[in-house]
Amino acid sequence: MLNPPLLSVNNLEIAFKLDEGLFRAVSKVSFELEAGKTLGLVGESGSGKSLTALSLLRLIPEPGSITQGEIKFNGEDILKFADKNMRALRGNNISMIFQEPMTALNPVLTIGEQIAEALTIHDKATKRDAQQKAIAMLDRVGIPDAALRALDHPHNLSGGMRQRAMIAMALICKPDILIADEATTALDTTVQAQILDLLIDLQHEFNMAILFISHNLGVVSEIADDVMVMYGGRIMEASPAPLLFDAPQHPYTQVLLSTLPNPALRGQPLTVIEGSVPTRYDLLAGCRFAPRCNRAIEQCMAADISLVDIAPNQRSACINMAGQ
Amino acid sequence: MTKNSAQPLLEIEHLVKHFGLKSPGIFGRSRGTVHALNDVSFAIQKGETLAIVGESGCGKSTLARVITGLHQPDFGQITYAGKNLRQNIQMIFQDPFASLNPRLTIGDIIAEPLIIHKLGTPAERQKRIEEVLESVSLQKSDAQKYPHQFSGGQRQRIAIARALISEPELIIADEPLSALDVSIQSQILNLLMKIKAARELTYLFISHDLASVAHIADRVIVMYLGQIVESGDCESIFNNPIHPYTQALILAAPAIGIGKRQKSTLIVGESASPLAPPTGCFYHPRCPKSLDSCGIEAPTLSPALGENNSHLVACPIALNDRNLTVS
Repeated sequence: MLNPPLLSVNNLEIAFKLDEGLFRAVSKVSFELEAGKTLGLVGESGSGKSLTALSLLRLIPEPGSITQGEIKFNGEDILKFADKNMRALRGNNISMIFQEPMTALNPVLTIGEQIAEALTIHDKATKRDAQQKAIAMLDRVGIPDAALRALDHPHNLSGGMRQRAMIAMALICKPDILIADEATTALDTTVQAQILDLLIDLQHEFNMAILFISHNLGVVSEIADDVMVMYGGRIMEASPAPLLFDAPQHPYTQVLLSTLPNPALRGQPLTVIEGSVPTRYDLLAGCRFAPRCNRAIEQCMAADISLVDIAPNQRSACINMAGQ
Repeated sequence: MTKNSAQPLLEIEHLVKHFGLKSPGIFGRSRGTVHALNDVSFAIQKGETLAIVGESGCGKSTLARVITGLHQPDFGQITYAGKNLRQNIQMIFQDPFASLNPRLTIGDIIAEPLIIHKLGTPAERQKRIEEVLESVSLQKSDAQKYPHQFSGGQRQRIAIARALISEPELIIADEPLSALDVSIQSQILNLLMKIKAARELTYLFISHDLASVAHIADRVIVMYLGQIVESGDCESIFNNPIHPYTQALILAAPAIGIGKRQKSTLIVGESASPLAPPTGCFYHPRCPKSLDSCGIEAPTLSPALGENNSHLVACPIALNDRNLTVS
């Protein structure tokens, strides 16, 4: 029998209880994560990419909740886990790094204490042992004088060093899955390059799966093996990274890529996507992108279009694609 | 002196700006000096788009603030060829959620430069508001609305409308795209190019995003820790970067089409604190090419051989290597 995938998400729906009714922020989201591979998740603000990530840790903020679907980690549905089992999973098997390390780190604890905390909780390590391991991990993520830096508080470190400390904290329990939500967005370009190299190195070393979320298509193209594009709470396209960037299939992916400055078209007007994302995109009957799509036909507004295989490993949610 | 046609619109000479850091309280102890700008000189020609690129702490935003008069320089001279510097230089800021007063209507926000500079009658102002809203593709009726009723991209259009209303000659845009979504960035970049052509504007475009700089700029200045390390035509800088920092910056910029990244970092560590810049060349502790002399002698901007002499580089070692291969 085949081993179950490390993580498989099936038909996920995340909804918020609002005064005017249920807002289905994310729906029909299905994907898998594989050990040692990086899945890039791209989309503009409000596309549901961060909610999708938070659902893997069951950390959807109130009044939202996961209203449908399953999230199977090693074959077991974590949505059925008791809170206690869920806590054992967080940080230990699935951990996360955030965009802004200054708000994600605790300002009153030293860096070393925060990193060691996960070990004392999950591995029941002694304080001394945990501290030693924390220093070793700080060293591994490229912080010089790790033993001294472990005694610093977050405000003593530079932005890049704080991000390294947060990576050390996320990796101290050697998780199977690392979620990086805009993890390099706040960093300088040259520091971003260093952090990306570090993540790739650590992935090889620990054989982690990485879910890498970013609105920066360039960064995703440099780190992801596969890429998922979200718009209006749905997956529009999911393909291996080289295919997605060289031969995008969905009209949204195509137009999104064409809006980027291109050296060959210096000074020329860039492609724009007319209109904006409607606030209640979940009320659209058809394709979420149809109102802004230049290839939309009548059926696009009516039919609920799902993601279908258009080639091996390549999925797209567009009526113009074969088979729809 | 007769007016030279090649006289730049704005000339900046030996600009120095340091900020003293002090612990709180009147007896607060000095905690050192931030060297935000160190001897920065350049000129902006009328009608060009000059981009300033660099990472955080390189002084690019301080530069914008000194030019617009929001900070006084400690030393140096700013010569403006036009009439009234304050009225003819306007600024667009990074965050359109922070730069618009939430309690004013769009009309009041946009009219503020006219009111401050005492331009026009109320009726004329009203007409100008409507014109300028249309020129940034917003509706006349939007003047009655408040900032919270607009998306990020629309707010940036409002900020651009405010900058345009006093008909300035020079617009300083400080990271005008970086708070916006990818698809909105192209709209705003297009708008900036369109109004520049229509109004014969001059831009000082400050950004860390090399792709948009390469798209819009005529000339580029690269700054590091408050100093210019390289400057030249946009094509020279991007196709033929000479300073090791410029090379590292261009290599580090994420790009589509090169596939999964190979470990390629040319640059180690992070920018030193502007509180305590290194001796000699400020970049030498991170530079793969640095020699012992780099820590002693501060380099000066010198023309690169084999280029038109507008390509300036502050690295004698890179220039020497290059001159050996050119000649």
